Amino acid sequence: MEKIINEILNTALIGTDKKAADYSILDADILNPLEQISHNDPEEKLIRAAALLIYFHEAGSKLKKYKGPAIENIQESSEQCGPIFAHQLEKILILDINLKDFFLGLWLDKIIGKNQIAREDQILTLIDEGIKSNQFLRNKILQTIGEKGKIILSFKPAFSVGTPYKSGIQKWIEGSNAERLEFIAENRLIAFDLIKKDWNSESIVFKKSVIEIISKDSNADEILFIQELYDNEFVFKAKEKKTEREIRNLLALKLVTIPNHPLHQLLVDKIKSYCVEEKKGGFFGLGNTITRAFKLPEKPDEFFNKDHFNARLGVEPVNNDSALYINEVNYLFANLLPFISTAEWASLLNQKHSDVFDYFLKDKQFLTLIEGKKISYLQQALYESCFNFAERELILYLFDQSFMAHSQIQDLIPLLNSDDLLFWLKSQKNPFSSNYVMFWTQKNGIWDKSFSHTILSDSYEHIVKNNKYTSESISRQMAKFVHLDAETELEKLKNKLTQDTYSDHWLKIVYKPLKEAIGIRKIIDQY
Amino acid sequence: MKFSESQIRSLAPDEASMKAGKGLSSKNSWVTIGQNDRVLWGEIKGSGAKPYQTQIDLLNIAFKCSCPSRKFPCKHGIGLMLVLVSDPNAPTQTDEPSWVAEWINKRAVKSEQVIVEKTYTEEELSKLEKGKEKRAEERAVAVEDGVAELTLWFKDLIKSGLIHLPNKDLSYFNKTSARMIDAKAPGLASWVKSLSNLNYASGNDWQLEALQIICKTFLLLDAYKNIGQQIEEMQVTIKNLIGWSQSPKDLLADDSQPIIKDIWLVLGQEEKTNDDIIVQKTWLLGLHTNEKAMILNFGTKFSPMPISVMKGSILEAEMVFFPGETRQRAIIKLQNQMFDNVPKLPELLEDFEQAIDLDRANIAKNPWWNDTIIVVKNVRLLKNQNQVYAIDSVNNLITICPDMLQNIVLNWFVICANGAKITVGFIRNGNFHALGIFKENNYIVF
Repeated sequence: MEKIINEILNTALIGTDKKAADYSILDADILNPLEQISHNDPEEKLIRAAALLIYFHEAGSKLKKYKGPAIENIQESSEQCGPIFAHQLEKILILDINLKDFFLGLWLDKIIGKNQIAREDQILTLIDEGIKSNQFLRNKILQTIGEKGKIILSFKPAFSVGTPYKSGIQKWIEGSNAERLEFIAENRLIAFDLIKKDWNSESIVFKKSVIEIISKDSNADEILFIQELYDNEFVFKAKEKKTEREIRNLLALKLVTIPNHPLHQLLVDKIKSYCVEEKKGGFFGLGNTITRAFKLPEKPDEFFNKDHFNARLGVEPVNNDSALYINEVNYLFANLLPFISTAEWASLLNQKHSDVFDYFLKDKQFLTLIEGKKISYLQQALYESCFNFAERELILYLFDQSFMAHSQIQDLIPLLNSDDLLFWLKSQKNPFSSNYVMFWTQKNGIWDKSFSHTILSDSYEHIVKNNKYTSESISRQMAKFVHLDAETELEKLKNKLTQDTYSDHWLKIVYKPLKEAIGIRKIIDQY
Repeated sequence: MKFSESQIRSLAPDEASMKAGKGLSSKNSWVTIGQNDRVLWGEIKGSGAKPYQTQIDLLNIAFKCSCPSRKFPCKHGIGLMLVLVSDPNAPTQTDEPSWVAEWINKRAVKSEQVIVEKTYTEEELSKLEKGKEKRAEERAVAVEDGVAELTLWFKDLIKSGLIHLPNKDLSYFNKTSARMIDAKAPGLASWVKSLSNLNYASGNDWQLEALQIICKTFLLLDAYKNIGQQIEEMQVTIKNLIGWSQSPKDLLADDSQPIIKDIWLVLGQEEKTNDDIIVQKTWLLGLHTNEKAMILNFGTKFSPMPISVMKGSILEAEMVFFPGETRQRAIIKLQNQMFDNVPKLPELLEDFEQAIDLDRANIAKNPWWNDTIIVVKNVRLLKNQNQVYAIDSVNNLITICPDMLQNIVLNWFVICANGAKITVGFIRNGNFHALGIFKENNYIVF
């Protein structure tokens, strides 16, 4: 039949003007009625023949049969998540774009943590959401769509997860450097044994990244490991790679921050030897006070010299800013300062903290002339010291200094505790329009109860009492990080509202999104 | 009354309204929510001093809201329905407030009102009749001219060869299509349009498809030329296909048409846009009578689609069918109540062989027939390379209708992945278009 249809189709394609159809190949069942209804018009005859053939073909053709192996049911090994939890996904997907990914991440983490999968009717939604999301979320989604979801992924080529997602120990064994570092950060205890086992075969760059991770909040075993590396593998060698020196610097920094560590003690003892007593104040010798001061040597000596600093502390021997550090000693002292906490300096110089900061930023011996202005070459050193010791006095002091860049303040904010942050925020003109809370939250996560209450009531005060509009940025932060118990406080504030524009603004900007977000977070949290 | 999100989505005028509605789907967004057997209502705070009042007629789905939105239904109507999806216990009132009672009572009275026809004198009647006859004669002449012109146009196509079709400008088809509109034969115009809508860009599938369209249209032109020789029902079918419209108002007023009372399951819906006109087809199945009905609605970008029934819903109603050789298009004459659950399963076909036989029987009666509704046991999907087939219990394969959206096919795949299901759909041009499945006596509409 198909052969005959093709013959008719070919004539129709070429045109009856150029090709005459061969009707002799038609079966009598078709030819006879065709002869009855067609006259001498070749086009009419062809169309009628085609119509008869097509209807005959359709009426007589059989369905294709599947001859492959029996189709197996796809059984999921993990159970589906519960209905109330599942319903939160619908709520999450209609959230503001800035909140959606965050809440979706929470939802996915919970379901993965419970070794469950999404409900069947959510699989496609999740895959389509994954196509719009980042790789990180896509990897999580992949873990929640079950076997059925994985099969239909072949119809969704835009859902690309790059290299297959690795989990647990697989990350360490087969993963990229980034994945292996991720594994260390997530599984510190297990990872430490693996680090030691594989240490000799690791690249120098990877070793540096590992040390950067384990030198934060190290336990006793990790400190012993750091000490061993400092004493042996990364001890100064005449010919060494730049990365080896940088690693020595990281190791020394870690060891020096441990009180009573010999390296710490050595530095403190050396610094003491440069401290002198000075007389200050009073007219004609009356009312003089004696203060301690730190006197830098005028030229390199046995302590302040680049080879010694390199060997002990891994400090780069080449002064890379000769305009700021006019001599080698200045350069080395700026590199030494972040190794010693300001509390230690206050004790050494027998001064209050704020006086020590003033001293380093204003004393003549630490000033240098840059573009016609005298500035302290220790500004950067004090800023770096904050990351090593997180001293609130120094951080709050630096916040008030005009030389501090906005980005530097943002970097230091996460080091404060919530009380200090609130204390500082209140001194700002418009605390809710800034991103300061966001920078703090990024590191510190969920806010404590009192911090949440204060931010909530301050937002109320700012909008409803002081009649000021504010952006949605603060409510997004609240939605993500406010303490779940803050819902009571939220309701209390709502009950205080009156009928006015600013109350409506607070209701729209703070209350409604926060109420919805707390509702979702509570269900995820309690699941 | 239970709604599903998919049902509510089918009522939303667009995706943005659905998303906005979802934003109002928490009961906390609403000041009050009330519901009884016939109406759902709620009050929600908007930008004005007074909250917006939203109400939904649950028996004959209809919306009303005091908000200024021009969308229909508005986000408040959608949001209020969605509240019930997430929390069926959200309504706290059952006594209708006056603003609700007033609207819903008015609707109830309106639906019971008998249309009082204007009475004419004999002279007026004769004048009207003459005018009607004259218009009918004029149309018959115009259509005859159109039929002759289109016959010639097809013959010219075949004479010069279909191979030139892909190179033809759109205006080539549009011109002929417009000539058919002028000839008062809009049905023929759509057949011409369907030739221009073929996918000429990929492969050679268009060749047989074009020949099929030409053959079927030519058959229709032939049938019209010999319409006097056809039985009355066939004459109606031919005239419908040529473009004579059928008036729902006339049908409702015509007592001679049989009324089929049943519990109807709304199997699914399809919307297609053709020349800025949105054509919506809704398929229903009588659970006791096994009658299949299709409700046709029309809308444009500027006039919303009238809401008559919601897909997936189950309603007790009286259906009246438009006359024709094969029963298909219908309207609801009277709707009594809605059900939450399917009271009984419909008649089931064993396999696709039976389904195809049913389709062929319809085509034998009406060669232009399409969309045979079928309910088949034990259907699942089979993925073979990039092609997806529906497969029955005896391994018959049928290709999936290319009109089906990929996500609907994939959703169907997921549902059937752990076992075959009773599947509902229709056969169109030999392909299967699924509308929903039965899962543990619940109908899940796609």
